[in-house]
Amino acid sequence: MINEDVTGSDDVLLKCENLTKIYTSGLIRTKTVAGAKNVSFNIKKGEIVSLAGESGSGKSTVAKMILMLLRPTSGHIFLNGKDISLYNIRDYYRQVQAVFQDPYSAFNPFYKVDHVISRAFGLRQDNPDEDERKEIIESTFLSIGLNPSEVLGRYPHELSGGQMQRLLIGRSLLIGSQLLIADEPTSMIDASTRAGVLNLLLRLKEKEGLSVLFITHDIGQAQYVSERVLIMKEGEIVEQGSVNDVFTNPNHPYTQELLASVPSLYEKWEELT
Amino acid sequence: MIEMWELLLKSRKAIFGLVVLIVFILLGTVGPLFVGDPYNMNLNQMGRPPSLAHILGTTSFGQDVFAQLCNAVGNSLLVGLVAGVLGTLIAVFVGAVGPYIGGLADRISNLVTNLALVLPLIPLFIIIASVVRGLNLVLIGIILAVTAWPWAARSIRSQMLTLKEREFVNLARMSGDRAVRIVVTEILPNMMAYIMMVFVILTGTAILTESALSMIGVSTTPTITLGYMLYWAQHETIVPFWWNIWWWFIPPGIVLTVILTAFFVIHAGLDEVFNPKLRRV
Amino acid sequence: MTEHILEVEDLRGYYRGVFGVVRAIDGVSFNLDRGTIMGIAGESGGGKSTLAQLVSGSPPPLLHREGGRILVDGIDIYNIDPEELRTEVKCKRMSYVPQASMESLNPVKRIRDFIFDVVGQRTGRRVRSKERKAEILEMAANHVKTLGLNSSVLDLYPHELSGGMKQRVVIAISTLWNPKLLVIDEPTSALDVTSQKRMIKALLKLKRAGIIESMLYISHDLTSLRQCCARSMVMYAGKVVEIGSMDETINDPLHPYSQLLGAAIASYDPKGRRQDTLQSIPGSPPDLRNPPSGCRFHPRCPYAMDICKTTDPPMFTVGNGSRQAACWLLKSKAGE
Repeated sequence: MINEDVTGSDDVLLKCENLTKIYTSGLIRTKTVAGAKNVSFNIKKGEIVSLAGESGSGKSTVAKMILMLLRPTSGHIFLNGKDISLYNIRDYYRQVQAVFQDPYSAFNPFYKVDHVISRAFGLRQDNPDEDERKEIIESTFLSIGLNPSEVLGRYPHELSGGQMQRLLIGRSLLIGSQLLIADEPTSMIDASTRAGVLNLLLRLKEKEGLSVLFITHDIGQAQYVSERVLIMKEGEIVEQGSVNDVFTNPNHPYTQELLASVPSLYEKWEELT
Repeated sequence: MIEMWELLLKSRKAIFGLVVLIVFILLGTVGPLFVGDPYNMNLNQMGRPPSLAHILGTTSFGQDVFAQLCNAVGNSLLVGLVAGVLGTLIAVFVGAVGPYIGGLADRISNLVTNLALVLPLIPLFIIIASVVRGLNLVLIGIILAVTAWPWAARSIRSQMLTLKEREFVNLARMSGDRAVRIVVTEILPNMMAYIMMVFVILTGTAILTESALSMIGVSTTPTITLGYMLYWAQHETIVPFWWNIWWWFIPPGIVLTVILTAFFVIHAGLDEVFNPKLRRV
Repeated sequence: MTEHILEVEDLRGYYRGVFGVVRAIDGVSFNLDRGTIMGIAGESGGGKSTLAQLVSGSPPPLLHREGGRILVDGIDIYNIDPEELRTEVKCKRMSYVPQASMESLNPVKRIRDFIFDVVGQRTGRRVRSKERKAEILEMAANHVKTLGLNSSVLDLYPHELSGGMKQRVVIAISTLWNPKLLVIDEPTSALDVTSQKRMIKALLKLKRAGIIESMLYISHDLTSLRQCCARSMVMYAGKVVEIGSMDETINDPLHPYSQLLGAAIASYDPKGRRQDTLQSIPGSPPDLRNPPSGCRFHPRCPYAMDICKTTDPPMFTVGNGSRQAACWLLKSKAGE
């Protein structure tokens, strides 16, 4: 069934409706764990939305369902108003791509990093020849601050975490995707280069109109990079709204507790002094 | 991958094992062309000790021991190779494909593995040998392969289960790749080291198992293998004391030991190269 | 009795192996006053954990102390009998809780039995008698309670505890002998924010209860260091770049690296989002097998001068003497 009201607003890119994922384990005596419960939200075109929560809150489950790596137990996801299960898989991945938490796991250690890039060309419809590919790669890499000669032809372990994450962002640009699912993209890279990745996402949003679902446990980064935020706890979205509202004036008790626990560079916890 | 080969060539153990093995492969393949008919019984030359004419002497049936040894080495290695290649293929197929697809496919492949794991080899072999007429070496290799793969499939499965969770597999799925392609181009290359080890172990143990079975007289092929030589050396009755005809059973015994040692030294070398815990820092 | 619980003088610690010589700690000197919590900040590869391993007295196999002294409570720990180090310094005067130490609990033993094992190993005498066990349990229960846990956790198995609880149990065991100094490496990095806060509170309570006196707290997370440390030391590429009070280092950093590191962190501000854009530091940390000449930060430093490329800056003392930083820019400020 295709929900009609989605088509009403043009600028909604992705809409999740009552997404639920229940994990079942065991053959005879089954045990069920809810990874996500009735998760509903949408992402507009050219918007960065943060999905924040602690480990085990179901953030990655939601990401995997959007990326069609997991099938939801119930609920629907719509991209541009069309249920994603109706998409041709290659058409879908042309529009939705991801950057994962662990860059070292995202590259196959067996191949040079070029492998990931050249596989990505398979999703493009224009099928460029060798020279055109080279040109596209160079211009894309330069636009995201990567020097092609520094990264191409190397093995993953020869690159830094920041370079790898940029490469993956570059990969999704090559494909021309509209939505990037960024699952904790900065948590394994050094503080001094982290800002570069965050700024790159902001710039791509401004210049290319890229939409990003920024999944993080770091409230500071969510506050820096996004306009809207969803707070998840135990598989449910407990609060959502604009970053300014949620982070300065939280309503839900869990959000209040979470924010009170976040250390800030600018303030000290009073109860400790 | 290039690095792996470089590392492998740095491992003295692996090189030593490979060199020994190559010598025996040459002996088993080229050797038979230069020696006489190993089955030819020369009734004038029965049970003779090593001499210039017969450098390893003759059997009590007047056959040349060296000619038999060359053929036996080749045949034993052939059995090992058939069992090794086939066993590895089965192990990779059962251990990798089912678990990658997951769900029912994984359950079925796991069940098949566990069933095969509990098959008793020697009784099975005795039954097959008594039922099947015209057993040949390739058939023996196949039977050995069919009974030897389960442990390897299990460990390949466990590797598969961790590798398929790696993000590069997800990334390949998001490049629109199909399951078979992902298994072949993304996952299996990362297991190559392990698969090589499986092959070495399966080949080595198949040679040993075939020899053991022939030696106790279970194998009914008329083809000479190392175990077959040992069987006849034990069962001949012409010479009164076994040590009087030492040149008959000592060469195949030593050769078998050396070949197996070579296999296990290669295995140790591979382990040293691919197991980060053993890799010398 | 000296006023410093820990004195480190010109310490050098190198990793040696077939990969070459990694100069992970290259000339580090600092003092830690009694009763102070000092935070060590910096990125990975800065040498924080290596420093802690050297201070612990038993560095891992490939790490070697190549020079310098470490005095714990006045005892030169690399110049005494190993037996004395074990009985007199470790646990009594100093305890070291390494990174990911919560995985060191024995999974098949109840916490209490694990504690008896640890005590037995430490004292060289197995814990057998009932009285001794009761005595140890009481001590452990006291520590566990101070850290905000119910003493019944001692009867549980490690898998029944959450990550934060396991971490606190390990700290309780490490501080069983009431060490004067606790050296703790990344106690919060594996925890969620809410447990991180609990962890930091627990550590401060440990100090307030008099179980420990001083603490060396190592973390890559400047924001959590900020919450509990009075003093701070920033490390870069095996060297100390700045030492001073935490507030001053955050609000008015002296060394360009501290300035840039502070400007690169997206910190949560409860008052609303800051408008300024974060800056990342160009380049990447140097290869310590072959560190750059002069100041190790000069290839990434926006203020690099000619002298920075050739000569390693000494620590310049600034202000009333409580702040030090190794940067040539401070030469004029520091009345030398």
